[in-house]
Amino acid sequence: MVKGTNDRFFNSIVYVLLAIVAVSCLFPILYVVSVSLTPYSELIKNGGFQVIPQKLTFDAYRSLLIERTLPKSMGVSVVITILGTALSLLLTLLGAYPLSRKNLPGRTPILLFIVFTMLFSGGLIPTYLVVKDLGLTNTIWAMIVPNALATFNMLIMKTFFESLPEELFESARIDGAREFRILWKIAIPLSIPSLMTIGLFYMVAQWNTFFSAIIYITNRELHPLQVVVRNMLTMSQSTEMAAEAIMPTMTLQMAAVVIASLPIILVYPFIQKHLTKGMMIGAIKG
Amino acid sequence: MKRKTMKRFVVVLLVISMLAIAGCGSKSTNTEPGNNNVGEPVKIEIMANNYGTNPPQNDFVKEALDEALDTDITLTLGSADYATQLGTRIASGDFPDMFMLGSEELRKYSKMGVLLDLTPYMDQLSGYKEMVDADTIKLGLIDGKQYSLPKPIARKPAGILWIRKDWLDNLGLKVPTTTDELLKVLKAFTENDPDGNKKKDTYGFTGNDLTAFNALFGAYGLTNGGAQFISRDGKAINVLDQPEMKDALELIKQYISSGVVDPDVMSNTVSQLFEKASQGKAGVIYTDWTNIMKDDKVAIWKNANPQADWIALNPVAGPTGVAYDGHSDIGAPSEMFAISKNVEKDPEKLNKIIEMLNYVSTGEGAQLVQFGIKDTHFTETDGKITITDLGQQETNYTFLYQFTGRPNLEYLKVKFPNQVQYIEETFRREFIEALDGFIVPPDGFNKADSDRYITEEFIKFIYNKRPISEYNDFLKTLDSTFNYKLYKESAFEQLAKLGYSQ
Repeated sequence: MVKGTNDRFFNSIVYVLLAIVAVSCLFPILYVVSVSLTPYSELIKNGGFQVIPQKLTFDAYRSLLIERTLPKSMGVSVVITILGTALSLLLTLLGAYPLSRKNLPGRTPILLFIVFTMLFSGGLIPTYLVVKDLGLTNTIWAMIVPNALATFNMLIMKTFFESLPEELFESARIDGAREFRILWKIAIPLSIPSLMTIGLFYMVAQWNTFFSAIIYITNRELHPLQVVVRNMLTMSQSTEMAAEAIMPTMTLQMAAVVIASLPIILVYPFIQKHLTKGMMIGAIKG
Repeated sequence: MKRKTMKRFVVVLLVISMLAIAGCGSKSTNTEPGNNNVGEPVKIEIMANNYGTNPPQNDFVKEALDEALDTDITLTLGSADYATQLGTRIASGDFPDMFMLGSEELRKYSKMGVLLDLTPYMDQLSGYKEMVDADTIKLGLIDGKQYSLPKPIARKPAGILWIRKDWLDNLGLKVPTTTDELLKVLKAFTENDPDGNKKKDTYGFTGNDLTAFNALFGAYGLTNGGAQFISRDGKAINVLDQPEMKDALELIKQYISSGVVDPDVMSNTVSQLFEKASQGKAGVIYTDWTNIMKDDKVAIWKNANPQADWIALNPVAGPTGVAYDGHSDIGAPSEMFAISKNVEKDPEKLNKIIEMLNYVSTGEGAQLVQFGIKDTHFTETDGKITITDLGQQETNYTFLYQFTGRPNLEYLKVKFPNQVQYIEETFRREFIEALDGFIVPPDGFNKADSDRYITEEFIKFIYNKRPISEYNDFLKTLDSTFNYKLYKESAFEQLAKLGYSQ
């Protein structure tokens, strides 16, 4: 490492810039968390802006986690995230691997067929009809199956599999392995970082399931977390018909936001090392 | 080795198929409507906008209704996305039995043949007719056919001006009665430190979006452009064409340019407006009593500042002495329900729905959906209803079941005993009668686009982004680009038929 004045100067600028970026990312989170911990009346007293809570209260969390429908919807969200991610990964693998094999008969037409769906879709009403006639409406499957496979992710995976040296597969075949074994023992272990990355994409998407829930699910017991939280956040119109409705306070709203985003924030650090690797892989072909 | 892999695959496949079976299983619990066996409760699905309020797990209104009527009522609720949800259901032919809809949807769906013509059943709807007056029921007609059941019109505008009495006292000011006095008070509130904290941290006035200025438009006998046809001395006029409109815009521009209006007024939400009022950031606000005087709201602003004292302000008079808080569309029911055409094929269900609508309109059924369960949530002595403490806590969702509305004034007074004076105050006020609800927009005119253009240009005028001298150009663009002329001609023609001559 060269340590000239120039370098130091340059480094310090980089650090300052990074610090600004970090603060501007962290500040909103800090704000949300501290509002969720401050009693609402206290918040109003201090002009509605509170970065470090002066008085702590867990009332908002207590009432959200005990009295309301939040725990149930959290359960729904957890189930669809786990099931959905597992199913999505399975489908992606089973789609991407065969398509990455150049000797697959009819590979180009199939690929064209799949890419076609990226550009054109059936639209809301026909999709709704399909989901309804499959008997999926008002089941958790309506939130999992229609979006189970993201074409883009599958194409990434396919490209990745294509980048693996053909010789590996040949030698496996000479040793007597069939396609499934090659996939399980060679292709998948080599692609753990990409799988993790794509799995994370799927997971975040499933956790944030909102639109399919409001369209396909009419049973409130099956509403995922995001629907319930959004309901709390948008509930601000005071129409006279709903005069007796109690609007959730900002403290309660922010607590709901924290509860809705915390699980995904917690998952990131564990996947991050794979994530960086996964992003790089496939960038350089050799 | 090979076998082991196979085994694993079989296991995975089994798990997947089991999950799929589980999925199908839970589907069967949600039976298709229309196949009710004799003796089983009749299933009724009702779709409505809930404004964000959901019934609790233990929904005593549903239980009581189901027991009284031998039904199984399901509420399918949406709030911000209600229109999308309903549209998807209708377009795909998966109709709820009964659903809430607006005037525009009523016209669209009745043309599509989705809605049941209730004209032959009106004789059976005796309870409903008792709840809603004949004029209001007529608002549900399309081409002489009763395609929907409007609720009684809620008293609108609920929005009025509120002022900080303690601030007035601190500065030794009188309660303003004219637009000029109001401006002076607002200037004092902004510049003379009404809260005595030695900081210039207050604004005179706040509200949310263009409705904030309703009372100022009202001082010229006009609306904020949201409703464009009003009745003045029994005659229909278009507010945009009135010469006073320029004066009203000029006045609001003067308010804004004197720096007395909260700069965020256009982007405030209702809750932000309340928060600003509670924090002592503004001394005059335009809002509903529900947003400032309900017990939970009062507790918040009293706690933030024990000296705070909000009082209702009478509408301020304009140069000609006219004073209104705002307008109310007498042609638009606040809410209405329609019944799906499909229900006709199932006479048993249709009869149940009619029975239900009558039940919630009169007697114990009406009490149930208004106040909850007798002797638990309310008590009745000599015909006077008192809400119990439990009732105060548990009945804040029962409005979802008021399918035929409620006698609003009496209802609110019972439900909010501490707010009676503000409710009466609001109901006492005169308002401008808007007629837009009666008008069916002609083909070739897009009302949403034209409304948006009017709002946008109004905001430009009052924020001095476009000189008010260009007001006539604005009208010309409206007539030519947005085809407003066609709408206006058609509107006056339609209103003339209703007895509002031009």
